[in-house]
Amino acid sequence: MTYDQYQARFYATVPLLPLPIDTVVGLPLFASAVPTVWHFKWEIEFKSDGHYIYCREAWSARKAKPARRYKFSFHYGPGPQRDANGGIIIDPKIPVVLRCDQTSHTPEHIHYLGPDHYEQDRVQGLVIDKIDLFQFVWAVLRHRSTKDPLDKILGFKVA
Amino acid sequence: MPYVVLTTADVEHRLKELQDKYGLSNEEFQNSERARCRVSDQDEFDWDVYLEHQAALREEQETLHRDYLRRLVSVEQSTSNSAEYFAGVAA
Repeated sequence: MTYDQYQARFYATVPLLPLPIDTVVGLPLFASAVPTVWHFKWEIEFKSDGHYIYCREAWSARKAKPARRYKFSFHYGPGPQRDANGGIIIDPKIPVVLRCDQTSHTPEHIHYLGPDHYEQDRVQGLVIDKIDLFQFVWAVLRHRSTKDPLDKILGFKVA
Repeated sequence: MPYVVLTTADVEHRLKELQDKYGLSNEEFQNSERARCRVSDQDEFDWDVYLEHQAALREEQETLHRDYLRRLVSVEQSTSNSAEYFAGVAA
């Protein structure tokens, strides 16, 4: 995937999302210094209950290697708190509904209905580092419309 | 603004901002789990990605510099060849 393809996919997919009327879709942020390395931030806020989705991804194709996502965080839960510039502050004390994370220093893991980390060996039915941005967003939208739990929608179990 | 084209100055500025905010060097942030724990979620994300942007920019600059030097050498060779040729013609 190239940076251009990444952006094109985003703009092609957003209109397909079943976004309810109470949704405030934030402007995405695509940031890059050279076309082989980029990061992305995007938020969706649900005005009816103040929950929000906050997605961040970072991709790199340095040294002529294929692009890989080296860091991501998909967050859904109550909030958000904001700083003076309107930026999101993630307060670890506020419990999340679902958050999937991969950083360069921690193995991929999820938080589900609480602060506990569930690393991949405690999660069945979901390959955490393969979870896609739109798979996550779609699952949250479905969860909000059907009230089905997210573990059922995404097909995972935590142990 | 959905598209941001980061310059070297932008990247260095953001990294400096993070270093000053936490009193940590980039190396401490990268290598010390204890130091990392003090960094907020949002800043940790930014710090990692701006370090990657910095590395990418440095690679790009090195490639550019190598190409420049390579061209410089070939121009020097061609200039010296031309000088020999014209010296020969004049004689």
